Amino acid sequence: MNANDPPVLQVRNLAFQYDQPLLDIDTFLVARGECVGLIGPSGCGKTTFIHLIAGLLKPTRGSIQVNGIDLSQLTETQTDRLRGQSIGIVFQRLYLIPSLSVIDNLTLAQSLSRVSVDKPYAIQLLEQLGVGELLNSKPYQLSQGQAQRVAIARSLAHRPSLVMADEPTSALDDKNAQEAIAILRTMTQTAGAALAIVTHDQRVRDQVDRVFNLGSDQ
Amino acid sequence: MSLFQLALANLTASKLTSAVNILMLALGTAIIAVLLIVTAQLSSALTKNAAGIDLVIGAEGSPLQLVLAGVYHADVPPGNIASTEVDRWLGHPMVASAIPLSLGDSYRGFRIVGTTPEYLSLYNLNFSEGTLWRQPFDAVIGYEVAQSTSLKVGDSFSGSHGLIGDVAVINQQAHEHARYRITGALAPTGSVADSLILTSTQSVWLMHASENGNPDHNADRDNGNDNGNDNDNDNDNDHQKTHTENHEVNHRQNKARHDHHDKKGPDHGTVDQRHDEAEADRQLASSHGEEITLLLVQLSSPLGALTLPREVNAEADLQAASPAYEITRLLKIVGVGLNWVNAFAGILVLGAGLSIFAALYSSLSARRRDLAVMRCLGATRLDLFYLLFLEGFLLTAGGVTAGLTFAHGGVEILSWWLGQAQGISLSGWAWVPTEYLLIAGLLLLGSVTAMLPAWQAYQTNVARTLSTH
Repeated sequence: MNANDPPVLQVRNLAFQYDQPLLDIDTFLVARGECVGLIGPSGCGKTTFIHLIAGLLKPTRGSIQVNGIDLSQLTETQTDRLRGQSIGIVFQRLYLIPSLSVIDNLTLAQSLSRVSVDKPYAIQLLEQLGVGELLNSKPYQLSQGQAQRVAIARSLAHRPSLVMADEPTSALDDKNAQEAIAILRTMTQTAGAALAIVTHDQRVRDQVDRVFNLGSDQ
Repeated sequence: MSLFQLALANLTASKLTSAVNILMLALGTAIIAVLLIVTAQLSSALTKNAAGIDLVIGAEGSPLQLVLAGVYHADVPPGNIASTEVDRWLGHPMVASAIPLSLGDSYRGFRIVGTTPEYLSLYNLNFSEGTLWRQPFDAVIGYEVAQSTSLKVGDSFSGSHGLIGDVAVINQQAHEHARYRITGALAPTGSVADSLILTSTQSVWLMHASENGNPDHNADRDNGNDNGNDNDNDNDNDHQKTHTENHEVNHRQNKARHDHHDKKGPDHGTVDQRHDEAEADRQLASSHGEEITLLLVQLSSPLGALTLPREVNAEADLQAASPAYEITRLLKIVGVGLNWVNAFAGILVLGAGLSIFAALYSSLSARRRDLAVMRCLGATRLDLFYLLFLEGFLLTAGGVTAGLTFAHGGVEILSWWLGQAQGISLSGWAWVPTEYLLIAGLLLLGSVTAMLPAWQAYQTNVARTLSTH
């Protein structure tokens, strides 16, 4: 890791509003390999924040840089590319593609992000997450916990530099929530990616390097 | 995992819907393709059998009937003409060749045709065994005849009266007094000649001349209404026999008899060896009292196609018919019926197209979330468009492939079932050029069908979809 590398994520003077102002962030930076918790109450625009960083929404004001690249300077297709290559997302409801097997969900992510399909790496990720024997299972055959591990593996399959997890612990009890965050941390660290956990779950506070408050109480 | 593989996975994930759509499209495609294949092979077979025959000269009547009888052996001839006509038309400057045919007898449903050796060269017939006839009652059998009757060179058989399988009423009497000897067997050609027994014109004359005076030996034709009374001499059936005899009694009461040498029989009698005294004077009209059924004419100049028929038709009791013209006319008539079948198949195909559209469109709303996730994974809008388009295209291609397989398989099965009827052999292996047009048209239909769902996928609003689901 080079000290001169730009931060994985730089958000400056960002505002977004639908009908009324939803987000207003002065500065938010994520360094390489860092693990940050973005914590805020329901309805404070956490998911919107993820969509803005992923370039799926355009901010009303301000700039977002991913790996030093300003999203506002990119065409839609370039944004798709950047998102595909640099960002991994773990969705709150996991959203595995139901018609595809576990391994195909991972290789699809690799192929859509235009990095070369690396099946051995995908298998390695699944094995590290303890679901290596489920390669050919379909999503509906998985338990909630297994599906979450597969979703984590998928977010890492294309070797992104930033993984964003949207409420990864909301449906879990204390023990499982703790374990889920631990796995996310370990896996992203092993893969050399930064991790941003976006949540209203105060339990996450203790497990992250740094907490950033989203929303009105900021 | 490419988009192609993903499209396939999505289609197999909803097996029933995909299968029903493919099957619907396949059925429509199969019907259209079968029509294309069969009509193409039929018209090429019809053309092949008529190759080299510019005109058929025969007794007055329906020109189509004359062509069907003389070229395809699929109908009874309208009547006979005097044998003097052969030399007369052969001497005509517009005529290159004129081959006489004498019809009337058959053996187990295969027609015995009295003709000249030129007939063999007309159809490029080669011997697989034996030689041409040398004397009266020598006969040469076509490939199909040999196959289905197991007759071979050296065997003998007696012909029976009437054109069995066509429209003819016969009694149970065969020409037992004179038997044909087989001197040659022909190699297969795929033409109508495969199903014929060929002999000299003289054999036919002698066969019937020797039976003159036999009052019970009658062959009548009842304008196509007597199919049920066709009787095979070699396959006696008491019920049928009785029926035939009863019919004959009625028939004789109602109809003037005509004999073999009567070229003006009121009901277009084919062949009859009985001399009717009342008709004797008419017989004198032909110099030797000998008749043939028709002449296959090859013209020496294309100009003849215009002038010769006019000349022939000016003659009383004679007509000239052009096989090419009559067959075009026939196919046109059949074509009207086929158009309705085609229209039905077209509706089926359109229905299948709509069904594919509905399937894609409804799957789209269920899969909107997946599409949004794919965008998050790096897919472009165009990727989503391509995915949906591919699914529609694959369904169409599957339906078309299945349909063409059904069609060709069906035609092949049909061809086994039909055997080689009347020189028309079908094959499921042959491709018709119009099939490519059909494929192109259907794939275009599938593409258009997939376009709107694909566009909807392209328009997917990722942020909204993911925050509302």
